[in-house]
Amino acid sequence: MPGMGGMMGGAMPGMTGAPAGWREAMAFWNNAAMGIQDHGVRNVADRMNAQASTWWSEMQRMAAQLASRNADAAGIAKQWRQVMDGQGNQAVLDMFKGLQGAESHSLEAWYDAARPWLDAWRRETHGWLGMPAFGLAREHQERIQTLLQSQVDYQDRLSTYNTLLLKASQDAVGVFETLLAKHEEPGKQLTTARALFDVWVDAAEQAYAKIALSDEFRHVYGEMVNAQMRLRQQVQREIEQMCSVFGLPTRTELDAAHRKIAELERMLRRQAAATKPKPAAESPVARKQARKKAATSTARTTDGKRPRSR
Amino acid sequence: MAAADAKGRNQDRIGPLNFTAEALVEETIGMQSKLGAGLETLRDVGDYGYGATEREEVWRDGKTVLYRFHPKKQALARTPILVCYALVNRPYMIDLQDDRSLVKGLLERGQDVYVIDWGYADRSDRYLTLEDYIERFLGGAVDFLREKHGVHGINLLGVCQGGAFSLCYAALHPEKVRNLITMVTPVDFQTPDNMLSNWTQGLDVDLFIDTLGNVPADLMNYSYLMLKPFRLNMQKYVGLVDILDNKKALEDFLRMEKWIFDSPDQAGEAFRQFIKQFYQGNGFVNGGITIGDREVDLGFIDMPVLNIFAEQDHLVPPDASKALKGLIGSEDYTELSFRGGHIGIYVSSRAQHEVPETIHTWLVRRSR
Repeated sequence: MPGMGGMMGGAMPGMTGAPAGWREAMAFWNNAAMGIQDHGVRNVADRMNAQASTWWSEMQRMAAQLASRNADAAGIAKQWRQVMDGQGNQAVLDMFKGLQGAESHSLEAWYDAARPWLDAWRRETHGWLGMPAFGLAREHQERIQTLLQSQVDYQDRLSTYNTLLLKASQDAVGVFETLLAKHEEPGKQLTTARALFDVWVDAAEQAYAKIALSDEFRHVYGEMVNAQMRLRQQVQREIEQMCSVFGLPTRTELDAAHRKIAELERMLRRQAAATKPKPAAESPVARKQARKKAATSTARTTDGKRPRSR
Repeated sequence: MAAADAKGRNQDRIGPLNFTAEALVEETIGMQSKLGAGLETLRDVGDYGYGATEREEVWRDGKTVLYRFHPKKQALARTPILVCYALVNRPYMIDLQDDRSLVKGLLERGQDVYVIDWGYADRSDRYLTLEDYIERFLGGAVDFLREKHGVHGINLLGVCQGGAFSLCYAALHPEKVRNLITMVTPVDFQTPDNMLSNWTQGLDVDLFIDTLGNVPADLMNYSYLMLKPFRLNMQKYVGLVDILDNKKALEDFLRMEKWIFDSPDQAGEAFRQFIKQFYQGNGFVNGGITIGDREVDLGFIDMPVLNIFAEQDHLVPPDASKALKGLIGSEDYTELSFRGGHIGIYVSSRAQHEVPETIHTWLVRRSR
């Protein structure tokens, strides 16, 4: 690959000198991979760049600082906590956000797309937002007030949710220390930066799983999603309002048509099933005999049971 | 301090780490070399499309298509197998590539294999219900096969959510299912280790569907990635560097990535019912699952049942599947506990022999 060896110093065969930092190497690599036409390959390259750059780079850097030195589990964990603190909360949240992909229709992607409109509405209505609604435009004012209040609610819920995600990443450092301590015995020591990275991933997953399975997460996640749905409904209502002004069909109208078709098809299927001549069925006795015979040929069977309602 | 060995290890080192700066440079150079090679390999990758086995469309209703896989040899089995896959991913996982194909393994053993492809739901499908999926599409395919093959009942193989659909169908129409196989199928939806279930409990699913209509595939994918966010993202893509200089391994990786992100949107009403009745209501265990106007009681499943689950399944924990044993009416129940994960059960090299062989042997014993 022309140029790659120059960038990477000793990375390419025959080259000399120290390798460049991983993040720089990934950035260079991703730039070079831009020319790949295949959409699937391009997506993978993007995800790799987004997910394999920052944290692996940081882990390599920390490993380099610890090389040839005696450091105990607590010291390593402490140093890693400093790295994470140095990256800031946004880097952790960006990691989670990065799961959603660039062309995503996910929760955050929707909000990113909708936020400029919401902010514009907020600016336009700033003067009368907190005022009691009255006069000719009172219903319009009430709708906008509700919409913008929904945005505030969503931001609050999102913030609470993000706080929990950050807590998981903070808790991971404690788990990291515990897992590292298991490698202190000779023969179990970690001999590569990659192995150290893998231990941190294990720790991060353990800490995250504990929170993601908690009642608190269930509540906070549910509230965050529900709040965005309320906000979306308000936005959709405004868009439908605009559509109706210009005589355009709305999603509600299209949905109503789709519902009618689905119900008609269901009704027809039920009627056809009720009137269709049934082929000769296997007699219940023959079926029972066949199944009894099959049951005796199996190694592991359950105890006999009867249906709840039979 | 004593000198390091050839791998950069030092016998005098105290603590969990034992590497030298030189060893780290070596490691970094190795990875950066792979990156460099990867640019060439990525440009050269060949076909990473899916589907190893030729197939033909034999029946269709709306977007749902029933395919028959062309047998490599004369099918020995008179009773066909119908694979009912989940709505949430594409069914080609069972026939991903030539050396990773459950379909191929079954065909080679003389089974006659069909699969339902639900297609990609769009806004016009928003009001499809579980009744539509189970009675109309799955039921339609079953009736087609019974007639085509001249049999009273077929062998039904349900996968994941498709397994839950198959359980419903088998309970409602036991006379049409000769043998039932469930793979990585959730039955008890509220085991303590079920992360997805935990997240759905606080969801106002009526508000969710009334707002979204259909559930976007991206949202589903995001939920799955959030089950193990560090392993399924960061670690996976750091690990990808290892195979960047291996064309075949890279093609396999790309094929799997394609499958992971090739997800259909979910029809809104069916999703609403599934979350409410299965996840929030845990209806197989507690009762309360209604398909159309009929309540599902797994006690009516009286045909032989083979329940295959994966020991390291992060989507459908083993206990969620194993609950089936205590709920069905059948006296002929067999379990296969597979050492692997939710996806490994189809694509791992051990699965290629173990899973189709178990299914085939189990079916043959019940066809005599």
